[in-house]
Amino acid sequence: MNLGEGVRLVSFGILALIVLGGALGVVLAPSMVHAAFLLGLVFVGMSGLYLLLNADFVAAAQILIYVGAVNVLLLFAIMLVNRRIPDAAAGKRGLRNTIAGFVCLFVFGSLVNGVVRVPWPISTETPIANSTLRIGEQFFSYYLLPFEAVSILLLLALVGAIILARREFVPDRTESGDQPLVLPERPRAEMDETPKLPETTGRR
Amino acid sequence: MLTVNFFLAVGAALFCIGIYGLVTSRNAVRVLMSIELLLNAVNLNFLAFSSYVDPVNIRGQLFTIFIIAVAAAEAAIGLAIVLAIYRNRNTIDMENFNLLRW
Amino acid sequence: MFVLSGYDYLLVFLLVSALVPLIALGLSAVFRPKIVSAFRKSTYESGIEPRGDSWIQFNIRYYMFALVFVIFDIETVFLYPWAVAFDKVGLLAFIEALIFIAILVIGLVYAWRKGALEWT
Repeated sequence: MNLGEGVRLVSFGILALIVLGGALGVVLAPSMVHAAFLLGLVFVGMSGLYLLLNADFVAAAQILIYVGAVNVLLLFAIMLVNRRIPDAAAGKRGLRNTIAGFVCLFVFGSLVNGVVRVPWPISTETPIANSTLRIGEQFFSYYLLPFEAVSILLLLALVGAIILARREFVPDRTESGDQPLVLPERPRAEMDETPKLPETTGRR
Repeated sequence: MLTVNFFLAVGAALFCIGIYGLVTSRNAVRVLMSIELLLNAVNLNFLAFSSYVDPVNIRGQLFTIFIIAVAAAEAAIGLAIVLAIYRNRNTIDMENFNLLRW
Repeated sequence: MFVLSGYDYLLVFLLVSALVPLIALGLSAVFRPKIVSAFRKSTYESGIEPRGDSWIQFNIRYYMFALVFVIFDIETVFLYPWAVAFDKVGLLAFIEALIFIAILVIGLVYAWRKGALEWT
Protein backbone atom coordinates (compact mmCIF):
# COMPACT_ATOMS: atom_id res chain seq x y z
CA MET A 1 0.00 0.00 0.00
CA ASN A 2 1.13 3.50 -0.66
CA LEU A 3 0.26 7.04 0.19
CA GLY A 4 -2.06 8.69 -2.31
CA GLU A 5 -1.24 11.83 -4.22
CA GLY A 6 -3.68 14.02 -2.30
CA VAL A 7 -2.51 12.72 1.07
CA ARG A 8 1.06 13.56 0.14
CA LEU A 9 0.13 17.06 -1.00
CA VAL A 10 -1.76 17.76 2.23
CA SER A 11 1.04 16.38 4.39
CA PHE A 12 3.55 18.46 2.42
CA GLY A 13 1.51 21.57 3.19
CA ILE A 14 1.24 20.77 6.89
CA LEU A 15 4.94 19.90 7.16
CA ALA A 16 5.97 23.06 5.29
CA LEU A 17 3.81 25.12 7.66
CA ILE A 18 5.38 23.40 10.69
CA VAL A 19 8.91 23.89 9.36
CA LEU A 20 8.56 27.52 8.32
CA GLY A 21 6.52 28.56 11.37
CA GLY A 22 8.95 26.79 13.67
CA ALA A 23 11.90 28.41 11.92
CA LEU A 24 10.33 31.84 12.37
CA GLY A 25 9.84 30.99 16.05
CA VAL A 26 13.49 29.93 16.36
CA VAL A 27 14.63 33.26 14.98
CA LEU A 28 12.10 35.52 16.71
CA ALA A 29 11.19 33.87 20.03
CA PRO A 30 12.31 35.96 22.99
CA SER A 31 13.14 32.95 25.15
CA MET A 32 16.11 30.85 24.13
CA VAL A 33 14.60 27.69 25.62
CA HIS A 34 11.46 28.09 23.53
CA ALA A 35 13.64 28.69 20.48
CA ALA A 36 15.51 25.43 21.13
CA PHE A 37 12.29 23.41 21.44
CA LEU A 38 10.93 25.01 18.28
CA LEU A 39 14.18 24.04 16.57
CA GLY A 40 13.43 20.44 17.53
CA LEU A 41 9.98 20.83 15.95
CA VAL A 42 11.62 22.15 12.77
CA PHE A 43 13.93 19.12 12.69
CA VAL A 44 11.00 16.71 13.04
CA GLY A 45 9.12 18.48 10.26
CA MET A 46 12.18 18.35 8.04
CA SER A 47 12.42 14.61 8.55
CA GLY A 48 8.80 14.32 7.42
CA LEU A 49 9.69 16.23 4.26
CA TYR A 50 12.62 13.87 3.74
CA LEU A 51 10.20 10.93 3.91
CA LEU A 52 8.12 12.52 1.16
CA LEU A 53 11.31 12.54 -0.94
CA ASN A 54 11.88 8.76 -0.58
CA ALA A 55 14.80 9.28 1.81
CA ASP A 56 13.80 7.06 4.71
CA PHE A 57 17.31 6.47 6.02
CA VAL A 58 18.15 10.17 5.99
CA ALA A 59 14.88 10.92 7.77
CA ALA A 60 15.79 8.46 10.52
CA ALA A 61 19.31 9.90 10.72
CA GLN A 62 17.83 13.39 11.00
CA ILE A 63 15.67 12.33 13.95
CA LEU A 64 18.56 10.45 15.58
CA ILE A 65 21.25 13.08 15.21
CA TYR A 66 19.43 16.38 15.17
CA VAL A 67 16.50 15.81 17.50
CA GLY A 68 18.20 13.22 19.67
CA ALA A 69 21.66 14.69 20.00
CA VAL A 70 22.22 18.18 18.61
CA ASN A 71 19.05 19.62 20.10
CA VAL A 72 19.86 18.16 23.51
CA LEU A 73 23.37 19.60 23.24
CA LEU A 74 21.89 23.01 22.40
CA LEU A 75 19.53 22.82 25.38
CA PHE A 76 22.35 21.94 27.76
CA ALA A 77 24.45 24.80 26.38
CA ILE A 78 21.52 27.18 26.86
CA MET A 79 21.12 25.98 30.43
CA LEU A 80 24.83 26.54 31.01
CA VAL A 81 24.83 30.11 29.75
CA ASN A 82 21.30 31.00 30.74
CA ARG A 83 21.44 34.71 31.21
CA ARG A 84 19.25 37.46 29.88
CA ILE A 85 21.02 39.91 27.64
CA PRO A 86 20.04 43.47 28.50
CA ASP A 87 18.58 44.95 25.38
CA ALA A 88 20.71 48.05 25.05
CA ALA A 89 20.38 49.54 21.60
CA ALA A 90 16.82 48.48 20.85
CA GLY A 91 15.96 51.46 18.64
CA LYS A 92 18.95 51.05 16.39
CA ARG A 93 18.38 47.31 16.17
CA GLY A 94 14.80 47.81 15.01
CA LEU A 95 15.96 49.67 11.93
CA ARG A 96 18.74 47.15 11.32
CA ASN A 97 16.38 44.21 11.64
CA THR A 98 13.92 45.80 9.21
CA ILE A 99 16.66 46.29 6.64
CA ALA A 100 17.86 42.71 7.16
CA GLY A 101 14.28 41.46 6.74
CA PHE A 102 13.87 43.27 3.44
CA VAL A 103 17.19 41.96 2.18
CA CYS A 104 16.16 38.41 3.11
CA LEU A 105 12.80 38.85 1.36
CA PHE A 106 14.65 40.04 -1.73
CA VAL A 107 16.96 37.02 -1.61
CA PHE A 108 13.93 34.75 -1.22
CA GLY A 109 12.19 36.36 -4.17
CA SER A 110 15.20 35.98 -6.43
CA LEU A 111 15.70 32.36 -5.33
CA VAL A 112 12.08 31.46 -6.07
CA ASN A 113 12.34 33.28 -9.38
CA GLY A 114 15.34 31.16 -10.27
CA VAL A 115 13.64 27.96 -9.11
CA VAL A 116 10.58 28.58 -11.26
CA ARG A 117 12.47 29.61 -14.38
CA VAL A 118 15.07 26.87 -14.60
CA PRO A 119 13.83 23.73 -16.41
CA TRP A 120 15.13 21.02 -14.09
CA PRO A 121 16.18 17.77 -15.81
CA ILE A 122 13.55 15.66 -14.06
CA SER A 123 14.37 11.97 -14.30
CA THR A 124 11.66 9.53 -15.29
CA GLU A 125 13.28 6.48 -13.73
CA THR A 126 11.60 4.77 -10.82
CA PRO A 127 13.33 5.64 -7.53
CA ILE A 128 14.91 2.69 -5.79
CA ALA A 129 13.02 1.57 -2.72
CA ASN A 130 15.88 0.17 -0.64
CA SER A 131 17.88 3.34 -0.19
CA THR A 132 19.77 2.18 2.90
CA LEU A 133 21.36 -0.70 0.98
CA ARG A 134 22.31 1.63 -1.87
CA ILE A 135 23.86 4.09 0.60
CA GLY A 136 25.87 1.29 2.17
CA GLU A 137 27.16 0.17 -1.22
CA GLN A 138 28.13 3.71 -2.17
CA PHE A 139 29.89 4.31 1.14
CA PHE A 140 32.31 1.51 0.37
CA SER A 141 32.80 2.13 -3.34
CA TYR A 142 32.86 5.75 -4.49
CA TYR A 143 32.67 7.49 -1.14
CA LEU A 144 35.19 5.47 0.86
CA LEU A 145 37.60 8.36 1.43
CA PRO A 146 34.91 10.76 2.73
CA PHE A 147 33.66 7.93 4.94
CA GLU A 148 37.07 7.60 6.59
CA ALA A 149 37.51 11.37 6.68
CA VAL A 150 34.32 11.61 8.71
CA SER A 151 35.87 9.49 11.44
CA ILE A 152 38.89 11.82 11.57
CA LEU A 153 36.54 14.80 11.68
CA LEU A 154 34.56 13.29 14.54
CA LEU A 155 37.74 12.48 16.44
CA LEU A 156 38.96 16.05 16.05
CA ALA A 157 35.56 17.46 17.04
CA LEU A 158 35.46 15.29 20.15
CA VAL A 159 38.99 16.16 21.26
CA GLY A 160 38.62 19.85 20.44
CA ALA A 161 35.27 20.25 22.15
CA ILE A 162 36.52 18.47 25.27
CA ILE A 163 39.60 20.72 25.42
CA LEU A 164 37.49 23.83 24.93
CA ALA A 165 34.72 22.95 27.36
CA ARG A 166 36.53 20.89 29.97
CA ARG A 167 37.98 23.56 32.22
CA GLU A 168 35.64 24.19 35.10
CA PHE A 169 34.51 27.57 36.20
CA VAL A 170 37.37 29.16 38.09
CA PRO A 171 36.57 28.65 41.78
CA ASP A 172 36.42 31.72 43.98
CA ARG A 173 39.36 32.02 46.34
CA THR A 174 38.63 32.00 50.03
CA GLU A 175 40.19 34.44 52.50
CA SER A 176 42.56 32.07 54.29
CA GLY A 177 44.14 30.80 51.10
CA ASP A 178 45.09 27.40 52.47
CA GLN A 179 41.71 25.91 51.65
CA PRO A 180 41.95 23.26 48.98
CA LEU A 181 40.64 24.32 45.61
CA VAL A 182 37.07 23.13 45.40
CA LEU A 183 35.21 22.70 42.18
CA PRO A 184 32.02 24.70 42.25
CA GLU A 185 29.89 21.91 40.88
CA ARG A 186 30.14 19.71 43.94
CA PRO A 187 27.12 17.87 45.25
CA ARG A 188 25.07 19.77 47.74
CA ALA A 189 25.92 17.43 50.64
CA GLU A 190 29.61 18.18 50.30
CA MET A 191 28.90 21.88 50.05
CA ASP A 192 27.04 21.74 53.36
CA GLU A 193 30.00 20.14 55.13
CA THR A 194 32.24 23.13 54.41
CA PRO A 195 30.02 26.11 55.01
CA LYS A 196 32.87 28.64 54.79
CA LEU A 197 33.15 28.14 51.06
CA PRO A 198 31.35 30.72 48.97
CA GLU A 199 28.22 29.56 47.24
CA THR A 200 29.17 29.29 43.63
CA THR A 201 26.61 26.87 42.29
CA GLY A 202 23.94 29.50 42.06
CA ARG A 203 25.87 31.77 39.74
CA ARG A 204 23.61 32.89 36.96
CA MET B 1 0.91 17.03 -7.84
CA LEU B 2 4.07 17.55 -5.86
CA THR B 3 6.92 18.83 -7.99
CA VAL B 4 10.52 19.60 -7.20
CA ASN B 5 9.70 23.33 -7.15
CA PHE B 6 7.62 22.97 -3.97
CA PHE B 7 10.52 21.54 -2.02
CA LEU B 8 12.97 24.04 -3.47
CA ALA B 9 10.67 26.91 -2.46
CA VAL B 10 10.44 25.61 1.12
CA GLY B 11 14.22 25.23 1.15
CA ALA B 12 14.66 28.80 -0.10
CA ALA B 13 12.29 30.16 2.55
CA LEU B 14 14.05 28.23 5.30
CA PHE B 15 17.41 29.48 4.04
CA CYS B 16 16.24 33.09 4.12
CA ILE B 17 14.82 32.73 7.63
CA GLY B 18 18.16 31.26 8.70
CA ILE B 19 20.06 34.14 7.08
CA TYR B 20 17.82 36.62 8.90
CA GLY B 21 18.47 34.92 12.24
CA LEU B 22 22.19 34.74 11.52
CA VAL B 23 22.40 38.46 10.79
CA THR B 24 20.12 39.83 13.50
CA SER B 25 20.73 37.58 16.52
CA ARG B 26 22.87 38.85 19.34
CA ASN B 27 22.79 35.61 21.30
CA ALA B 28 25.63 33.35 20.16
CA VAL B 29 23.58 30.17 20.72
CA ARG B 30 20.80 31.52 18.52
CA VAL B 31 23.37 32.19 15.81
CA LEU B 32 24.36 28.52 15.96
CA MET B 33 20.68 27.55 15.71
CA SER B 34 20.34 29.71 12.61
CA ILE B 35 23.32 27.95 11.08
CA GLU B 36 21.54 24.65 11.70
CA LEU B 37 18.49 26.03 9.88
CA LEU B 38 20.69 26.98 6.92
CA LEU B 39 22.22 23.53 6.77
CA ASN B 40 18.77 21.95 6.91
CA ALA B 41 17.65 24.10 3.99
CA VAL B 42 20.67 22.90 2.01
CA ASN B 43 19.86 19.30 2.94
CA LEU B 44 16.31 19.72 1.70
CA ASN B 45 17.62 20.95 -1.66
CA PHE B 46 20.01 18.01 -1.92
CA LEU B 47 17.26 15.52 -1.18
CA ALA B 48 14.80 17.16 -3.57
CA PHE B 49 17.30 16.88 -6.40
CA SER B 50 18.26 13.39 -5.28
CA SER B 51 14.66 12.25 -5.54
CA TYR B 52 13.65 14.05 -8.72
CA VAL B 53 16.86 14.22 -10.79
CA ASP B 54 19.03 11.33 -9.62
CA PRO B 55 16.62 8.75 -8.19
CA VAL B 56 18.74 5.64 -8.84
CA ASN B 57 22.16 6.58 -7.53
CA ILE B 58 20.75 8.83 -4.76
CA ARG B 59 24.01 10.72 -4.40
CA GLY B 60 22.06 13.57 -2.80
CA GLN B 61 21.24 11.34 0.17
CA LEU B 62 24.93 10.55 0.65
CA PHE B 63 25.81 14.23 0.57
CA THR B 64 23.05 14.89 3.07
CA ILE B 65 24.40 12.32 5.50
CA PHE B 66 27.87 13.85 5.29
CA ILE B 67 26.39 17.32 5.81
CA ILE B 68 24.47 16.10 8.86
CA ALA B 69 27.68 14.67 10.34
CA VAL B 70 29.62 17.87 9.68
CA ALA B 71 26.77 19.97 11.08
CA ALA B 72 26.67 17.98 14.30
CA ALA B 73 30.45 18.29 14.72
CA GLU B 74 30.14 22.00 14.00
CA ALA B 75 27.43 22.39 16.63
CA ALA B 76 29.52 20.55 19.23
CA ILE B 77 32.61 22.68 18.55
CA GLY B 78 30.63 25.92 18.23
CA LEU B 79 28.85 25.41 21.53
CA ALA B 80 32.14 24.54 23.22
CA ILE B 81 33.58 27.81 21.91
CA VAL B 82 30.53 29.67 23.20
CA LEU B 83 30.98 28.05 26.61
CA ALA B 84 34.70 29.00 26.65
CA ILE B 85 33.89 32.60 25.75
CA TYR B 86 31.16 32.68 28.38
CA ARG B 87 33.61 31.44 30.98
CA ASN B 88 36.21 34.07 30.13
CA ARG B 89 34.09 37.10 29.32
CA ASN B 90 30.86 36.23 31.15
CA THR B 91 28.66 37.10 28.20
CA ILE B 92 27.31 35.45 25.06
CA ASP B 93 26.36 38.69 23.33
CA MET B 94 27.77 38.61 19.81
CA GLU B 95 28.55 42.33 19.92
CA ASN B 96 30.96 41.80 22.81
CA PHE B 97 32.97 39.19 20.92
CA ASN B 98 35.38 41.81 19.65
CA LEU B 99 38.77 40.60 20.80
CA LEU B 100 39.93 40.18 17.21
CA ARG B 101 38.57 43.50 16.04
CA TRP B 102 41.12 46.16 15.18
CA MET C 1 7.41 9.48 -7.53
CA PHE C 2 6.82 8.06 -4.08
CA VAL C 3 8.04 4.50 -3.60
CA LEU C 4 8.27 3.97 0.15
CA SER C 5 5.71 1.52 1.41
CA GLY C 6 4.12 1.20 4.79
CA TYR C 7 4.10 4.88 5.62
CA ASP C 8 0.32 5.09 5.54
CA TYR C 9 0.40 3.20 8.85
CA LEU C 10 2.86 5.78 10.18
CA LEU C 11 0.49 8.57 9.14
CA VAL C 12 -2.46 6.94 10.91
CA PHE C 13 -0.28 6.34 13.96
CA LEU C 14 0.80 9.98 14.03
CA LEU C 15 -2.78 11.21 13.72
CA VAL C 16 -4.02 8.96 16.53
CA SER C 17 -1.09 9.76 18.79
CA ALA C 18 -1.65 13.47 18.20
CA LEU C 19 -5.34 13.12 19.04
CA VAL C 20 -4.81 11.35 22.37
CA PRO C 21 -3.10 14.19 24.28
CA LEU C 22 -5.33 16.77 22.62
CA ILE C 23 -8.46 14.96 23.82
CA ALA C 24 -7.03 14.36 27.29
CA LEU C 25 -5.93 17.96 27.79
CA GLY C 26 -9.07 19.36 26.18
CA LEU C 27 -11.43 17.30 28.35
CA SER C 28 -9.58 18.23 31.52
CA ALA C 29 -9.63 21.88 30.45
CA VAL C 30 -13.42 21.65 30.17
CA PHE C 31 -14.04 19.89 33.48
CA ARG C 32 -11.42 21.27 35.86
CA PRO C 33 -12.33 23.98 38.38
CA LYS C 34 -11.04 27.37 37.44
CA ILE C 35 -9.22 28.72 40.50
CA VAL C 36 -6.59 31.36 40.01
CA SER C 37 -4.18 31.91 42.85
CA ALA C 38 -0.50 32.49 43.37
CA PHE C 39 0.04 28.87 44.41
CA ARG C 40 -1.29 27.61 41.08
CA LYS C 41 1.64 29.12 39.22
CA SER C 42 4.38 28.03 41.60
CA THR C 43 6.64 25.09 40.76
CA TYR C 44 5.50 21.70 42.02
CA GLU C 45 8.30 20.15 44.04
CA SER C 46 6.58 17.16 45.60
CA GLY C 47 4.94 19.25 48.27
CA ILE C 48 7.92 21.10 49.72
CA GLU C 49 8.45 24.80 49.24
CA PRO C 50 10.07 25.54 45.88
CA ARG C 51 13.48 27.12 46.23
CA GLY C 52 14.94 29.39 43.59
CA ASP C 53 14.25 29.57 39.91
CA SER C 54 13.37 26.52 37.88
CA TRP C 55 15.69 27.68 35.10
CA ILE C 56 18.88 26.95 36.97
CA GLN C 57 22.34 26.81 35.54
CA PHE C 58 23.31 23.25 34.68
CA ASN C 59 26.47 21.41 35.50
CA ILE C 60 28.95 21.33 32.65
CA ARG C 61 29.08 17.52 33.02
CA TYR C 62 25.74 17.36 31.19
CA TYR C 63 27.36 19.08 28.25
CA MET C 64 30.23 16.59 28.25
CA PHE C 65 27.91 13.60 28.16
CA ALA C 66 25.80 15.16 25.40
CA LEU C 67 28.97 15.86 23.44
CA VAL C 68 30.23 12.29 23.62
CA PHE C 69 26.73 11.08 22.78
CA VAL C 70 26.57 13.28 19.65
CA ILE C 71 29.85 11.90 18.33
CA PHE C 72 28.93 8.26 18.82
CA ASP C 73 25.41 8.83 17.53
CA ILE C 74 26.93 9.93 14.24
CA GLU C 75 29.16 6.87 14.29
CA THR C 76 26.07 4.68 14.61
CA VAL C 77 24.39 6.39 11.68
CA PHE C 78 27.45 5.78 9.54
CA LEU C 79 27.80 2.14 10.52
CA TYR C 80 24.16 1.20 9.97
CA PRO C 81 24.29 1.23 6.12
CA TRP C 82 27.43 -0.89 6.36
CA ALA C 83 25.52 -3.45 8.41
CA VAL C 84 22.64 -3.45 5.91
CA ALA C 85 24.96 -3.84 2.92
CA PHE C 86 27.32 -6.22 4.67
CA ASP C 87 26.71 -9.13 2.29
CA LYS C 88 27.39 -7.03 -0.77
CA VAL C 89 30.43 -4.98 0.18
CA GLY C 90 32.73 -7.76 1.31
CA LEU C 91 35.92 -8.10 3.33
CA LEU C 92 37.59 -4.84 2.33
CA ALA C 93 34.61 -2.90 3.68
CA PHE C 94 34.89 -4.85 6.92
CA ILE C 95 38.50 -3.69 7.31
CA GLU C 96 37.54 -0.13 6.41
CA ALA C 97 34.76 -0.14 9.00
CA LEU C 98 37.22 -1.47 11.58
CA ILE C 99 39.54 1.46 10.79
CA PHE C 100 36.57 3.80 11.17
CA ILE C 101 35.72 2.34 14.57
CA ALA C 102 39.37 2.30 15.67
CA ILE C 103 39.80 6.00 14.96
CA LEU C 104 36.73 6.77 17.04
CA VAL C 105 37.88 4.47 19.83
CA ILE C 106 40.93 6.75 20.11
CA GLY C 107 38.48 9.59 20.77
CA LEU C 108 36.63 7.49 23.34
CA VAL C 109 39.88 6.68 25.15
CA TYR C 110 40.82 10.36 25.12
CA ALA C 111 37.45 11.35 26.56
CA TRP C 112 37.80 8.65 29.19
CA ARG C 113 41.32 9.71 30.19
CA LYS C 114 40.33 13.37 30.37
CA GLY C 115 37.48 12.51 32.70
CA ALA C 116 34.65 13.54 30.40
CA LEU C 117 32.80 10.35 31.30
CA GLU C 118 33.01 10.74 35.08
CA TRP C 119 30.16 12.14 37.04
CA THR C 120 31.84 13.61 40.09
